[in-house]
Amino acid sequence: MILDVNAVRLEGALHELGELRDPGHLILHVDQSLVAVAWTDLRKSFTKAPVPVGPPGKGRVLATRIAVDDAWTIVPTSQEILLARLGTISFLDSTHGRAVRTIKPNGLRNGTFGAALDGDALRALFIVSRDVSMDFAEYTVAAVDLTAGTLVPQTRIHGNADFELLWDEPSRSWVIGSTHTGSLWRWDGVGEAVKFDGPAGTLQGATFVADGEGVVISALTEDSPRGSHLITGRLGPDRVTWAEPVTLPGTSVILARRHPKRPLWACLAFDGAAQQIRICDAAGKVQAVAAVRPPGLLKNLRWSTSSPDRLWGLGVRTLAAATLIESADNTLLK
Amino acid sequence: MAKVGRDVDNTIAKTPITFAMIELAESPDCNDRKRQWMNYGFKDVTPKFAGRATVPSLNDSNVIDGRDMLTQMASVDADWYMLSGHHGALYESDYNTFTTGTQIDFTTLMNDQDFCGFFNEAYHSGRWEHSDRVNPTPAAVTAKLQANEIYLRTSPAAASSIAPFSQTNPWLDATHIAPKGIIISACNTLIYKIARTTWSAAFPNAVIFGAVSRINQGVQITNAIAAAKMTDETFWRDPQAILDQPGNSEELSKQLTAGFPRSHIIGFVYKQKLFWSGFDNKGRWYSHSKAVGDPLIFDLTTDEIS
Repeated sequence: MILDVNAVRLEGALHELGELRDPGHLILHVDQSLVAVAWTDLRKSFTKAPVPVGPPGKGRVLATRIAVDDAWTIVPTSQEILLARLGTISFLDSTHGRAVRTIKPNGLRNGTFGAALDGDALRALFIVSRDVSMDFAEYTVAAVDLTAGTLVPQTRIHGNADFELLWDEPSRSWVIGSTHTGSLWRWDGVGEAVKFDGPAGTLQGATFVADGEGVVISALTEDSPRGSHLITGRLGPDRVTWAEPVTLPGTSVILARRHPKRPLWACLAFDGAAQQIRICDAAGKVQAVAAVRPPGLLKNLRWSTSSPDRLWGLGVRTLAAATLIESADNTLLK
Repeated sequence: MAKVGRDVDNTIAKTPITFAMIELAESPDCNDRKRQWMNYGFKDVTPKFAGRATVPSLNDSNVIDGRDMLTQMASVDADWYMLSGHHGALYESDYNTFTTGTQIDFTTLMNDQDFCGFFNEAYHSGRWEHSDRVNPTPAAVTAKLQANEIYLRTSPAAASSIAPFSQTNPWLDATHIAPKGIIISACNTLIYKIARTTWSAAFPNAVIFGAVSRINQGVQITNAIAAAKMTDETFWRDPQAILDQPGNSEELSKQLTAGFPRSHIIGFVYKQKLFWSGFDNKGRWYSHSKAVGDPLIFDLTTDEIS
């Protein structure tokens, strides 16, 4: 297996990435704008200077004055962009950014930090902020019925690390994962939330993926002289089944994200100055590796929702596309 | 193969830049900043932990090593310091002094609170939630919580009669060569007058980044700093050369706000002056600067801090 990585340096700060149905057609939150841009246009830039996104640079601006706590997501069926801003939810067409409709749910405050739709795109789950005391705020979640405009808060789900949100079709519930502890909650947006603990010990991070049969947790133990260890778990109806830890060879792995369909993990490794993207199998064996050369610096990896062999690498001023190219004797991608 | 880096800077002959970090809560903020600084070729000089790819949080099994690291940190000089964790009043019960009925007078709290500090989870769920100045060690502050608590003062130390535990902050309680700057990544690190004046007095020429509000996690601070166009490698090598130019502090404040949650406020102190900007509860942007010792005013109707 070969991993081909192409990266572009961006002039603005990249806050979030979404994908439209057509492969390589992206919505980027860069600086304070939402911009529709094709990856092929970005990587065609042959200048040494970082690439400006949005006029007069690449892409088409769909919305401006977007803050990092204006959560948005793409509606799979309509390809509209659902955007929560200052307590109002707008559906923007992804061609021109025109607001198709708006909703003002009762109780949705300023400040949303993530959004995920249910399987029918009739409700949305938002990460919101809760003031605990004068010196302490935390994340919690609220579900919004996009037809009625009603909001259901769920403060039993709370934490101070980034949450990853998934819709788990088999359980018809959202899964809310803590990237700090590997713990997760399952919530249908109506009843009580059920919490499942992460693996024992101190973690350096965790990621979550819905693979169609359920949810897989990928947790990395805290970096130590002994190296990095990956612990995977599968969320069942009433418990998480954890596998034995797997040693990840080489320099420290700081993030591991499972492929949504296949037993492959995209890993971001860091050796003190430079980064690598590695593809590992369930035993931790490296199947492919590629360097991310400085000054490019990635913070996160996302498997593409439109191309199964594509991986996106996100940094503050770097966007990378990694493509898995299968060799003849390798069947892992099949 | 990665195509980034066709114009990699020549780092030969650049002055070596050093940094040291203390993490008392979730580590992503320190980890992100460490990777960016190491990407520039800067050197981590944090005692005991510099060789790790990630910055350990001084909680649970890391507390013993962490205390040892904090002791050694007192003799470490670095160009940049970063301190992350929980930050607030000495105890949650301190709010009672500023409360009438059920209403806390936020303006008086942020201007008149006398003792503040950074702390880890054991202190947070122990003394911070359960102690008061008359009874600083109630039964709820168990021996296990006391064994794992870490508190680093960001104000003058409270008397041992009301705070019978170590409050030593290795950067405030030892003499250090003047750093270029400090990132204090937690809630309300610059909103308390006593905290910002304490930091500013100890490091009068440093740029000191922090929050002028509650935040959900420290990575909101480091993301905003990284997103600001001005904070490239040149800035970290010599922030004073940049911020001493007219208008640049105001511009940095504006750029920080652009990458920070609209529902929170970020700012920095530079040469005895606090710079911050934010959005009121109608989404209108505002920008201010004040001498660090001047009181702040919280407007209950607009949520603006001026």
